[in-house]
Formats: sequence, C-alpha cells, structure tokens
Amino acid sequence: MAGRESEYDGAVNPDLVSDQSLKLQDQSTHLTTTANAAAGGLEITCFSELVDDATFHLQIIRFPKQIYAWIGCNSTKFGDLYAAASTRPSNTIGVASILGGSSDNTGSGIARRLVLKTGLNVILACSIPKNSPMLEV
Amino acid sequence: MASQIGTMGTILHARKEEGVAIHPTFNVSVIFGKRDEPMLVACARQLIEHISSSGSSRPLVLSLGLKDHSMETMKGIVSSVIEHRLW
Repeated sequence: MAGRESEYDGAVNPDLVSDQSLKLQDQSTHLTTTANAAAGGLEITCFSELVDDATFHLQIIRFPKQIYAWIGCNSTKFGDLYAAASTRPSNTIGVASILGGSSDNTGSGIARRLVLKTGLNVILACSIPKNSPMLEV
Repeated sequence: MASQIGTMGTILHARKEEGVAIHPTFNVSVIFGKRDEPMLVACARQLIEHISSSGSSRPLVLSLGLKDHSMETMKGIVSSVIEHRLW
C-alpha cells in the first residue's frame, strides 16, 4: 500500500458548508465519504487492494476519538471483533476480544498497533487468517 | 451502526438459535458497553426477528451510540434500518 494518500489527517473542518463531500480516487477502488455534522466529523473510507495474491477489503470509519475498521481477507466475512485502547497511567495498550477470536489472533495484534499509531480507541473486525505475517504487514 | 455521540457506543450481538421448537428463538447480548439499558437489547431483538422473518439466517452486530434511549428513538432506528435493509 505504498504511496497511498493518508485518509487520517485528524482534522475536522467545521467551516465546511455542505454536509457531505464525496471523493472518488481513480487509481484504485477507493471511496471516501466525509460527513461534517454539527456534532463532529465523520469520515468513512472503503477500498479494496490486491497484496501478494490476497485481496483485502477495508471499511474504516473515523470518529473524533475512535476508529472502527473492518478488514476482510479474500472474503466478506465479518470475522472476529476486537476492542483496543491505551490504558492509564502506564500507557500500555489493552486489547480485548469481544466477538470470536482470541488474544493471540492476527486481529488483536493489528488492533494494538492501530492504537499505538493513532492514539485513538479502536474497534476492529478482522478475518485475516493466523500465521500470515506478510499479510499483516 | 447508529450514533449521536460521536462514538460507536454499545455493541450488541443478536442471532437466531437453531432449535426444534416451532417458534424461533433468538439470542441477544451486549458484547461491549452499556449492559443496563434494556431498550438497546429490545432494539436488537426487533431487528434480528425481522431479519429472521425475511428468510435470512444472518446474525446481527449492532452498535448504538445514543443520547436517549426512549421508545420513540428505538422505533425510529428499527424503521430506518428496515427501510435500508441489506438482507
């Protein structure tokens, strides 16, 4: 996914007049919808990408202080659901499996890394199989 | 997913249970968030029953981040989801 434009600039522009703007990127099937309601910004990104003979489907919903992401690997199954957040005061990351899954699954590692990178609470649904470290990256 | 508070809120899981009874039974549980709000469970229950009666056996994962948990709000959410059904 090198060279992809980041969808998370972290900024919500309250001055936008229209409630919704739709951006369609031509290079890939990449669809971003931004809804700027008075209560706060919301950004929805959906795209699919072929990586190492595996097709990934992603749906990412960016809330002001939370991220929801679904990752489908060669399927549209919902997969296992994980919740991850940083804990106080030690600033470590806590991950919990809330539907299916276990603590050593691929999804728990991805959720943890998302919290590390973004600093936001993460809810992740993931159907990436175990023992596929190249896919995880 | 329905949100008024800028987060996903409470996440519920609902599924139809396989059984020998004539009438189907459903399992609805809160998997993350408020566990003391019966209206949220009722909302999920209504939706899974509607999904089931439409002939689909898909389970439901529902997230509700709401400011109020009144019956009117729940009815509105149920009717909106049914109106934009994907099953």
